[in-house]
Amino acid sequence: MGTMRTVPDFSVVRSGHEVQIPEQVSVPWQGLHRAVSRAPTIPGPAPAGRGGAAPRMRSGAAAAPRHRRGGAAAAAPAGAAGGGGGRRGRKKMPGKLKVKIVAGRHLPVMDRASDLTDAFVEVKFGNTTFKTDVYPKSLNPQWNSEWFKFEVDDEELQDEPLQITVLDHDTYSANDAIGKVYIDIDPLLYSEAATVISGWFPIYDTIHGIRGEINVVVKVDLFNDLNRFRQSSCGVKFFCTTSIPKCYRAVVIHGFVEELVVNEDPEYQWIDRIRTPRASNEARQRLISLMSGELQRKIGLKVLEMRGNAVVGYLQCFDLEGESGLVVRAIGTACTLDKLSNTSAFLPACNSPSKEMKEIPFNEDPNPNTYSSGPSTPLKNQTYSFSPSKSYSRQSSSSDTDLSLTPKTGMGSGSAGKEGGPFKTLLRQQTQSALEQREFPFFTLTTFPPGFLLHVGGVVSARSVKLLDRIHNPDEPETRDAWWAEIRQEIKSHAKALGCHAVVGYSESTSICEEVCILSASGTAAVLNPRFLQDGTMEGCLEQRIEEASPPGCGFCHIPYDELNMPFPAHLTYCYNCRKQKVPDVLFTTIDLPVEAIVVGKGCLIQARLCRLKKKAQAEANATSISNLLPFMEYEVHTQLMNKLKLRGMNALFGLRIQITVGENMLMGLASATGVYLAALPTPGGIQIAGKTPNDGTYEQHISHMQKKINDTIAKNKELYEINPPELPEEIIGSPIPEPRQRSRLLRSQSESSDEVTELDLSHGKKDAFVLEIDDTDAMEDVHSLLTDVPPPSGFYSCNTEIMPGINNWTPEIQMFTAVRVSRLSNINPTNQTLNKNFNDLCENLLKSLYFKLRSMVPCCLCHVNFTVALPEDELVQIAVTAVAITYDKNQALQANKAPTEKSQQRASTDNEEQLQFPLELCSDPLSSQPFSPAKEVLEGASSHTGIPAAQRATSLEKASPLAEGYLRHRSVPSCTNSTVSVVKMTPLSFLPGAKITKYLGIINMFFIRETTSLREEGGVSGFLHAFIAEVFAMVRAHVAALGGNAVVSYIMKQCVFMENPNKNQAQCLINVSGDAVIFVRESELEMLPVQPSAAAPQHTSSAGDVTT
Amino acid sequence: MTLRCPLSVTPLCPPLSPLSPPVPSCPLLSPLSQGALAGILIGLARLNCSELRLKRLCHRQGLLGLGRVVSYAVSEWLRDIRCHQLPGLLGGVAPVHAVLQLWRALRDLLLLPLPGGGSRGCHPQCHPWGVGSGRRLGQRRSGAVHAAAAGAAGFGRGPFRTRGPPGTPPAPAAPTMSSDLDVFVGNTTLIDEEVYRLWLDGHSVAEAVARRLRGGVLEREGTSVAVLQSDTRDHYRTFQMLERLLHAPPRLLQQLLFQIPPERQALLIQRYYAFDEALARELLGKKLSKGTKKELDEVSARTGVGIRSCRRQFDNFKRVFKAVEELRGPLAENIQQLFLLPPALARDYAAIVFFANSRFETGKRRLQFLSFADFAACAQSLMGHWSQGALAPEAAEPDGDLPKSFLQDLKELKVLVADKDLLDQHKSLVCSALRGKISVHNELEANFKALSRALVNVGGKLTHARDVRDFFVDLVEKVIEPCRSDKWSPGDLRLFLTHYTAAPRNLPGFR
Repeated sequence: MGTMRTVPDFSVVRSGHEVQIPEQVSVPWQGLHRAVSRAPTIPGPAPAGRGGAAPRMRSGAAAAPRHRRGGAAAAAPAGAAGGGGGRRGRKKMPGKLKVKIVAGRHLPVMDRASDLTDAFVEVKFGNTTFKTDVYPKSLNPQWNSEWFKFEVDDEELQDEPLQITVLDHDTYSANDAIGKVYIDIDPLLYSEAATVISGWFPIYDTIHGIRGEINVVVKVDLFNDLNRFRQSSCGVKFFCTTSIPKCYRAVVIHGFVEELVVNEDPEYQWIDRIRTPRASNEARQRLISLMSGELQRKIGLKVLEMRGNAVVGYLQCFDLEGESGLVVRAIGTACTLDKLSNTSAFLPACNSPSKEMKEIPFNEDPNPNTYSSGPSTPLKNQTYSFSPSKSYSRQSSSSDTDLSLTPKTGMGSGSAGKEGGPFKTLLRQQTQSALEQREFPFFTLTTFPPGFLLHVGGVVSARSVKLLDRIHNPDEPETRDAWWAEIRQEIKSHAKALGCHAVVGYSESTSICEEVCILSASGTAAVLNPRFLQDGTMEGCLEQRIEEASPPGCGFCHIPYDELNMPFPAHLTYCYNCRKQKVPDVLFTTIDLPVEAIVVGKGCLIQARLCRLKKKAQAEANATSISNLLPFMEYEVHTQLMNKLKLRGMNALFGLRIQITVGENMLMGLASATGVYLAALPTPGGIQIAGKTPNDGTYEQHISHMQKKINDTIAKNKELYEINPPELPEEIIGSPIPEPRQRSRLLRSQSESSDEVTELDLSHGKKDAFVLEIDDTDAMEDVHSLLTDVPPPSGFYSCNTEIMPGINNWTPEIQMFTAVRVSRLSNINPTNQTLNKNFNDLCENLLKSLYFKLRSMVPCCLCHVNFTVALPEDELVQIAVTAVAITYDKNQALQANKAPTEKSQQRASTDNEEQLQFPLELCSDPLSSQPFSPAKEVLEGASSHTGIPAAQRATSLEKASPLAEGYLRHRSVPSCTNSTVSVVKMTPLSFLPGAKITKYLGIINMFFIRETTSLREEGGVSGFLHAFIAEVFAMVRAHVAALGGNAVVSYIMKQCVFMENPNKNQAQCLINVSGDAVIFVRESELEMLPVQPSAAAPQHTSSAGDVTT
Repeated sequence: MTLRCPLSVTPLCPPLSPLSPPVPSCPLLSPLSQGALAGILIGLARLNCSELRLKRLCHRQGLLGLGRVVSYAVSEWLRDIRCHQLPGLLGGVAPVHAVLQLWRALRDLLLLPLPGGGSRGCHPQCHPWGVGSGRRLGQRRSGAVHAAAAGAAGFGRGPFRTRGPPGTPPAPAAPTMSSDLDVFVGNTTLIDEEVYRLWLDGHSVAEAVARRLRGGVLEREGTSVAVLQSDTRDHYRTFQMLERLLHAPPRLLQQLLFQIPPERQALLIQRYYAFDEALARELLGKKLSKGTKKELDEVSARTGVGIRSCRRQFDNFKRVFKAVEELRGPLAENIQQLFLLPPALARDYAAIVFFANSRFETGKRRLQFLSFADFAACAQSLMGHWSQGALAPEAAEPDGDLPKSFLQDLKELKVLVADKDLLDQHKSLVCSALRGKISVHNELEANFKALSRALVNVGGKLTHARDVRDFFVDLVEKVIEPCRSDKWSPGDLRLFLTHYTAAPRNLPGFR
């Protein structure tokens, strides 16, 4: 790195200090403690683990990948030296890529005179180019070419996309390009994924959009045997899914992998001044495709080093740094996955009772981690009730004083896996050593196999403001590596402060405006079960688990830190579930709700929105002012979240994502999370308002009026989200604490409300009271804004996690969508308040219009609502939302409510202890509609609600199956009628409701640029972007369909950069999306809804009939 | 050779049967005893001609022989005369010498029947049109149609759209829109049937929003006007993008851009191609040309169908017409295959294409009592019995035309009325067969000769395109109206025609 200049660098971090903020509010803030500390220098050299830092990609992309290829190859041995010596010896030709161009259709008219096109195709991979013949005068050419064969090495196979260019032949002038198709051949490189890519691809042009389609067949013949193959990173599978993919089980979860590559942005190269926008866009697309290929390969190598075979929760991002370059970075979690081999699990027609038990989690409980072990083990049910033994929690709490992480994991490994072959021992040793080397115990996963997560400490996050123009050597990745390493270190130390040895649900993001860049990282400090980290066999764990009969679903809430030595002030109480361990009064996390968690009522989306003005400034002054603003923003975002959470009567946040976006003259903060009521945590107190000037009579009145409104809202919300305090579970599970107050819920809720009333007048000394002091108009505004959030219309629920807590009866209908809105915050003299209000309205209106759009799906739930905020220009705010609406069955929800009765009866009969309390349960039954612990619902709702119709199903299945099968076949092979395009479902979730994912076909990672110089003609900005997003969807679907898949899961739009110049009638947009292509089999149609297929099938055939006749 | 029985007019009866309602007679049209040209001229002269007639002229020219052009030109120019009135103006209007001469030659004849010398000033449009047609005539049958058509298009370009889909958001909104981008894209394309209908009806976004408001969406969904606007705009954008695909429905099924469930695709297509029967009735038998399209303003006013919707429907007719014009095989099936329409709708389109192709005159006052459905049924009968596909499937002619050889054969039927013996035999056969079966036997006996002659003449004339056009007019005028005045019942007519058709088989010379 040479002369590393000490850049004035402002880093905002959270450590154990409390910030002094004007408002004197006691915040029981879990793990989010902020301080402004100056991190004076960038750590010198890159950390040791990054020995294999990316060799710089020299040369412009426009000048072609060829050039780069050589450079990379030369640099490879040196670059990889840190990892594994000559493991990537230049093996030429590990495979042969074969491409066949079949036909085109609906090509655009390129020859105005004849209204036809003379099309031919160029197929390019690496340095080699083939051409088809010209198919004259047709808009639907049939090339039917020979097989074009490319002999390639594995590195090329991984990095390069296959480029297919469709051109119009011109005898006299240069051939006109019609458009291009980039095909990522990576999915063909793993043995169990797709074997062929074949299908119609949209021909895409960055100026004109989709221009017809081309039918291509791609195959790869690999010469290597598997062993040699494994030497390269070819075999490593990538998943965007942030949980263990459905048809795999995790043998070992190794941990964090990251990589970063940098290149010059073609858009900012000198050549860009003379080349056409099309050429420039294509250069950019190609470059990013290459860079992500390279990135993936490098991460794959790291995974192999760790002895893993897959990356889960792979998150790849682009930073468009402008002049200083283009950064592609990725993080993920290395795992060793085992494919669940027995196919019987995938066959829908199996009526054995054991099977049913097994299928329950797949059908009803969408959480991916209901997997436990080999599907046929009778131990299955035990996994649900597993929770850590006391000794474990003690270990972890003692770890507070423990600075190093390794001893702990060492202990874990010692206790785990006593038996096992020599291979396993070897493996364990290797993993153990890998663990010791582990620099960052981070996991990008958000859901985990049961039993993996022991305790959750709270959210940890760190931000840092950097100046891009101070990057000493912009073309090298070292500086950025150092930046990120610094932030990760920060996160790690925060986690340690919370008594946790790991960070889960970890993610990183950036926000760039001009030369200022905010790097952010956040995650959830947690204590993990070390056995999963190294032991290859889960069976061993399971056996142990049988002995550990422990309280279900509350273990993760128990504090990991020492009660006497708390890192921050918090109110601790005994767990309301088990009464054994201490829990905090609120819990914030970035992960999804664990499967085993006991939840009361339903969850809801909670957003904190904040806008802060900032003076326009240059460079350092700018960075300083941002740095100064950040802690205040974080604080306010937190306060808002907390207030809104209380307002809904909930006590925990999951999936928290705080996004701080920097613009030229403002900063925006948007935090989204899903609020839930965890049964294990104490009931949240109300919100109290206290005025600063108590003498004024009208003011008092106003205050009390407001207080009343707030109390009303809380009561209303409790009703809306069906939050009834969970008293009964304690009885059911035989809590040792005798509680006379648990007579009936009705009484309790009364007393509770009266509590609140009395709290009004009393001093707020009670531990769960939450006081808002109104000391100025600002605070008043805050309170007002609290109350402006309107709940979703009836029939709608929303959350930003994978599943909506409290709903478990999904029906298979899903609708994924992307909505983008750009709005001008039009104020001549904007103040923070007006800006806040505008921003708030913008978000609320967006949500409202989503609800309106999707009103036909009611009752439904918007899941994985993912807001992204950008500030493209001075007062323009761009919000992009991607989410999925999933319908659910209201009637079945009732069944599920009823079902626990039966279940508990069964249970009561088997369990003597419970028998005593059972009559009491029955007594309370008529008193409230939800007499039983919702916790049990969550745990057993799935099984119980299938339990009732089980008998019906068995019969209906037999009746319906032939038809339904026919229907399925029809659905899956609709191309037989040559008219319909195969349906590809898309979802940001990792599962499809009512369906079983049978195969993962590979990662989809696509980057598109679209530009127009005729904005008005294309329907203005909205028309332009509407078409572009539709095109992106179409291209994703086409690629998935070509791989043989029928769905994309974990779909995410990571970037949507939109720029316009209405005066010039121009606009440009960049979109980056990714997801996992999968094949799913719909089993709900076979099992749950025998009527539907029969109704749908004739429709389908009739429409097909229309087509063919 | 054996004559095919040409009198398969029987199927025409059911649709023509609603004779009972009183039909306004047509006093304007004098009986055609004076010959076709004079009759038409007189008739036309009294009609309130508009410039539209002239447009039709422009496009007919390509099809007709020179003689016909002249005779048509005469009829069309009638209006010009009315407009210009002053002979002096004519010199200026028609600079081409030949035309001027033609004018002079015809002037006396033409001016005569004009009532009152028409003090109405000419429309500003008339002038250039007159020039255009005059010049075109001077150039005879050169390729001037294109030029004229282009001129027509150029002239007709009004404030409303000439290009682009209905309901394109007005351009002035651009500056505000640019600052407010708002899109929603679903993986499965959302189609709101209500908005689709509004869009099809040609309402602008603002109108659609207003209508939806009136429909009470706000109250039902508890949302705001802004949300409704954004939703409507989104849908309109989607429909605009879809419209391109709807023009070729098989593409809608193949395209990858929008993921739409099959039943929704069918619905989109069906709704897009559905038409108002009132509009179709107006356009039936007219040439689907730009000229007719210009007429749509008037048609829209008459039928109460929105002008944008009119244009869309007209374009649909034209698109279907163009697509199947040259195709062989049954029309309805071709249409069904090319446009993926439900069978009933495809049959209706076949009727429209058939009428447009043969250019049957349906706009006459005396035909007004017939609805679109009546004509559609007639078209089906004609296609079913007379079309190429029905008669000689191996022939190369498209199905929309009446086969020439068959029409030629029809001529030979004249023997039925020309030969006295045959006529008498025929009459006795029919009358004896019908004795006691129909209530109007006496009238039948009295009028058999006239009826038979009318029928045979209508059939025999069909070799001339001109007469084909008047087929329905003739039929109503010469057959149906006499029958109606004699108080025939539909049953009577049906019986009569059955026997009338069957009887010749027993005549010498027929088989």
